Amino acid sequence: MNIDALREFIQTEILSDPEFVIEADQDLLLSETLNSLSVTLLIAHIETTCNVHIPPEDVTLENFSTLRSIETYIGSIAP
Amino acid sequence: MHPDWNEKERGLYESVVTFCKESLQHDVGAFDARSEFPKEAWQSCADFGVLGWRVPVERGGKGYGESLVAYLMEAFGYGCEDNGLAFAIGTQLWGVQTALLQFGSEEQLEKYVPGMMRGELIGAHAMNEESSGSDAFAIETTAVADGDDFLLNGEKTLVTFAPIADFAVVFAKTAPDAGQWGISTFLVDADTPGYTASAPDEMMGLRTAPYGRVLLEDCRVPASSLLGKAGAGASIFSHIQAWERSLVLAPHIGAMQRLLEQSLAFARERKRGGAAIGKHQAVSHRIADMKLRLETARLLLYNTVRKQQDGAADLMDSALTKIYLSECLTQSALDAIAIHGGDGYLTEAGIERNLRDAIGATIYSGTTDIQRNIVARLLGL
Repeated sequence: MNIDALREFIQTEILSDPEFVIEADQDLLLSETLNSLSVTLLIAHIETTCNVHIPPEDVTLENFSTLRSIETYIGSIAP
Repeated sequence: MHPDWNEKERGLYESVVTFCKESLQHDVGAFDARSEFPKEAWQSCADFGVLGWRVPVERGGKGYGESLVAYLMEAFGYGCEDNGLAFAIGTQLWGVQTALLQFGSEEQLEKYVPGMMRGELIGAHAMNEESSGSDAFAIETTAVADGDDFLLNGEKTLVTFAPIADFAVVFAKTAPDAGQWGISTFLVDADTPGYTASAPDEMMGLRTAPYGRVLLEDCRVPASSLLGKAGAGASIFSHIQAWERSLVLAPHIGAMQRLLEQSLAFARERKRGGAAIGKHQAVSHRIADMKLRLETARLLLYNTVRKQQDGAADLMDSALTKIYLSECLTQSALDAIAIHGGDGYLTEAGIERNLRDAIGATIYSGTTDIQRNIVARLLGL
């Protein structure tokens, strides 16, 4: 799953605002663009779409703070 | 009884009911009145194997799947009138053992799990604080790195088993500026200098499951006490909560069955004006509603548990289950009191205790209001 697909899901399914601007390196967590419920929805979407399992202990600032870090993380666990 | 269970599983169910009725002989009313934890009953449960049901066979446990454990906890809730004890066991199985079995290192598993199974070690799950409550991640307890150690400072409230726990799963901020993403999880032994447990809090119900506070004052723990990765505490907590919300109320099904049978027997035996009170619709309709709640709650519980075991459950499932089961038992406990009339109101009969115990489930592990917020949010509101 690439940055564009992640951005589109967050814009449409989580924020319900397709015009919301999200840069690839823009912080999503500390800025509270995504709250804990949003992150849970995003993880469920990634797991279903990419057929991967994301262990709870991997849901950290390091792996989920930006679209780019999420893309990198998915790449590291994808089969 | 659920029709999908095989003969062996139904046999296990019956063995748990028999164990509860024959081996858990403590006077629940007296323990409730004294807000006393029934230590001997806890040890009996450990000896029977309850605290090892979830633990993998290679670690000396039974290795039962979550659905079967839920089914056996239903049996426990039916056979044991001590709802506080059933709740206490649930917090160990789902709140503490989930944390250890899912995220513990080999060293941590070896240190805690065998003792828990034997009934020698009791763990507390210490997340809640005075300042957080329903905003679970707004905790203020800190864990500051100091050499190879962490120094913990803060106070945890409404912690099940706090007054008597041998160790606690403690959530603290290792990066206070990072909000929930700066929370980490620690295993802290109760005999660590700087760890102080309060006396039991007085409560409305579930009085045999001691609640209290844990005060941490420059409580020094080694880095090896970190459970899971630093900064993953919020995610670990959410994972534990998903299991707990779905499964800790499994004994409610058994309790509803027990209340239904008690109410049915009373309605058949009690006569007024020459007829059993069960012939009056004001009584019989209440009993019909109790049956309806029991069956629908059972379906919802096992649907959620099976999905969760298969990795297919979501927040909606656990939230709906938490809301429905807690409110069903509360209403059925009220109906049982109404059916029993004066006897239901008197403490001696033990009927009213079920209502006091049931209210707790609408509060702990995320209030029913918060669960409704989750459901509404997931529906796009």
